[in-house]
This record gives sequence, structure tokens and C-alpha cells, in this order.
Amino acid sequence: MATVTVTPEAFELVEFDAGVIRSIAEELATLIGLQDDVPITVEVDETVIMPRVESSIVGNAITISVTGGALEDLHKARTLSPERTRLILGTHLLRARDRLDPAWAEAPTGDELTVQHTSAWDTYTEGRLQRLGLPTRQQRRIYHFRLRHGFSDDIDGVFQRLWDGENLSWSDVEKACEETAALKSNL
Amino acid sequence: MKKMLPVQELARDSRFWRTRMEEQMSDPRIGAGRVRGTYQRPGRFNPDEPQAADGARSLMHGIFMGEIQALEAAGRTAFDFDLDQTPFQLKLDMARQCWDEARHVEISVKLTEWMGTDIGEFAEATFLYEAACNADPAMRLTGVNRALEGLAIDVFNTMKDFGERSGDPVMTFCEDWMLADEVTHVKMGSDWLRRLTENDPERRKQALDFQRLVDKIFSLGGQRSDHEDAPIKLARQFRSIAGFSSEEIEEIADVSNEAAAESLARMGAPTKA
Repeated sequence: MATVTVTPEAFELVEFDAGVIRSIAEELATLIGLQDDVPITVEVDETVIMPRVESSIVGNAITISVTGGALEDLHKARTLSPERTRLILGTHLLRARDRLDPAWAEAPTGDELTVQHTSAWDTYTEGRLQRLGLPTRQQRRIYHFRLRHGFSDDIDGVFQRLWDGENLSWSDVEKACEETAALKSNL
Repeated sequence: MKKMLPVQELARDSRFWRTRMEEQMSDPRIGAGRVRGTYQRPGRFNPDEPQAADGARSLMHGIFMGEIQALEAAGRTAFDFDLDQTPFQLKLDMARQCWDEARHVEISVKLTEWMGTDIGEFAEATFLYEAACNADPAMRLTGVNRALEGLAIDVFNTMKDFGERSGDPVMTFCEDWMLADEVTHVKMGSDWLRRLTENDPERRKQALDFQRLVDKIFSLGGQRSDHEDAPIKLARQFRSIAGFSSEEIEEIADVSNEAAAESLARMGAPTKA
């Protein structure tokens, strides 16, 4: 099982349990097929309400930096939502697994990753999470995709291809974005 | 049938969860974030922002809940008062508003489906209905029709603009249709306020004071304002069509700035909006 570290170990402003976050991350790491020697750190900034997530890899060590607002229950503020935590950690662990694959070596990081790239990658990721049995929502994801890439049936076709995709590479994501950009310019 | 139904007795099924505005405003993370420099004030709805989709989904779910409460509020105002308190014509206007609000609920349900949002996904704040619990119909009409439906004009105009900029035809049309009705509802509130308080300047003053209070609270700490980067932009043109005078619109802008300054001051920041 992967080694997961959650920081902080105790929360002061939100009613989160680091142990629950850790066990979700461990369960997902196994489900996704990450190697046991991959160290995973989940850094939670409990002071931020705005939902934001970033992940990075140094060597083979994965770090997910997430705000408390991204993990909280939408019905009850400052309370952990295991379902949202599962989807967010699942998305970023799967994205990290992609990055560990040489076929994704060219994938940019930080600000170089555009919202269109992110949205296309998230679509590919969430489709796979659904097939792994995680509760996902395709309609929510397609709204995100349309907002970034455009509103048309042809663009929806690109979305479906990414959602159903397996063993894609970074260049497949880039091509999908180029395709939707061309389709959008003709709308 | 019971008159003056309190907010606690609104009918909701198991999909819905309530939240109180006091809880949101007293969230310790706001102050802590300000001290640590991690607090992020929401900005203008921009389709290219990473959080745009989820922010829009949350806001439109809030509007959906507001439409349900507006339907309930207009229905109560048509029913709660005797003819010596509210003319029959006012009851007819409220009944017509119920028809509009019911249609808005249906539009909002379709819009939330389009955006991938489940009914009840976000918690419900009941402030609109609470403003409609006032025992004086003139207060209800200023609090709900002028202040909160006025806020709805600002939201719909903002989100219509968001729909146009993102190329989302469904959002654009939904907002445009609902915006047209809201202008009528605000105008109804302005007309009835004038007629109900025609010979009672003190009552009119109290009603306008109540509106000012509601406007201030629900400028959401200045998030609804005249600033270009405000999440919800004050819709001056539509408010003018709805019967607000230039002075009244200026006053709402000032009230929003005050609310923003007070909100920042509460969090220990410099009092500049």
C-alpha cells in the first residue's frame, strides 16, 4: 500500500479527520494502481473556503495541495465530504499516474496548463474513475468542458471520445484541444 | 389554512438542506484567511477562471431556491392579508407573480440539469422567504419585490452576460426570460409601495428603511456592486426600467460599498472596498 501523509494532522478551523482523508487516499492509490513505493502527501489548507486543488510530482513523490473548501460538504460547511474527497483525490492521483508515464512527459505544469487542457484531461480522468466504480457525474463534467471548449454537438463528440478513452497520451489531449479550438472558431 | 407561515414550516423534501446566513458570515476561516493572507475575495464571473463552472452552478442553484421561496412568498402575500390591508388588485398581481415564479422554478430546474447540478446539491438559505414574513404588506413588497427581486435583476443580468461570453445559449436564454419577469416584479413592488403608503409618509419611510437594510445585507458584503470586477454587477439600466430613480440606484451602489467596507473591516483589513 502507498505511504500517505496528510497535513495538518489535526484541524482547528474545520471538522476534518486526517485519518479519514488518509484512508481514502490509500484506498484510491490501490484502486488506481499506483506502486507501493510512491509516497503521497495531501496538504490541506484549512483556512481557504474557495475550492482549489493542485498536484505536483518530484521524482516519484506525489503532492496534492487542496483547500478545505474543496473537500467540505456542500450541505454542512466545515465538515468533510468523503464523496467529494474521493473524487478530488482520485482525479489528482490518476493525473499523477499519467505524469509518471513517459507518454505524458510533455504535459506542462502550473500556469502553462491551460483551462482547456485541464478540462480535457479532467474529462479523460473522470471517465476512467467512473469505470473504476467511483461516483462521478458526466453531465457536470460536460458542462465544464463546454464552458472551456464551446457549445456544439461536434464539441460534445470530442468530449465523449475523451470520456470513453483508455491509454491516451498527452498528445491525444493536445489534439483534442486543437480540434475543439477549430470547431469553436467556426461556431 | 394557516396565515403568516413561519420559515421553519416551509415544505421541503429530504433532498433539501438548510443553511443560515449567520453561519456563513461567522465562518472562522474568513478571519483566519485574512490574517494569514490566504483569503480570496470572489471576482467577476469569467468563463476562463478555473472555478467558473462550479461557481456558476452554485449561484444558479441558489437562484433556483430563491425562485421557490419567491413563489411561496408571493402566494403568502396574496393570502395572508384581508382586503382592508391589501386591495384585491394587489392580490391579483401577487397571483400573477406566483405564475411567473412557478415558471422560473421550472426554468431553473432545466438549467440546473443542463449544468449538471442535482436538486438540493447545495444548501438552501431562506433569506428571501424570511423577508416575506413581515406583518406589514408594504414592508414585504419593499423587502422582497424591490430589494431581493432587484438583486435577482443584478444576478440575471450578470449571468446573461456570462452566458453570452461563454457562448452558452441555454444560460443566455434562461436568464433573459427570467430577467424580463423580474423587471415587472420590481416595478409592481415600486407601484404598490407608492399606493399603499400614499397618505402615510411615516410608513413609507419605514418601508424604504427596511429595503435599505435588506439591500445592505444582501449586497453580500459588497459582492453585488458597481465595480467592474464584482461577482454580481449592479444592473443600472434594468433597474431604471423597473422604476428605480437615479438617486435610488446611486443609494444602492453606496450601500453596497458600505457593506464591502464593513465586511473587510470585520476581517481586520483596511476599510477600502
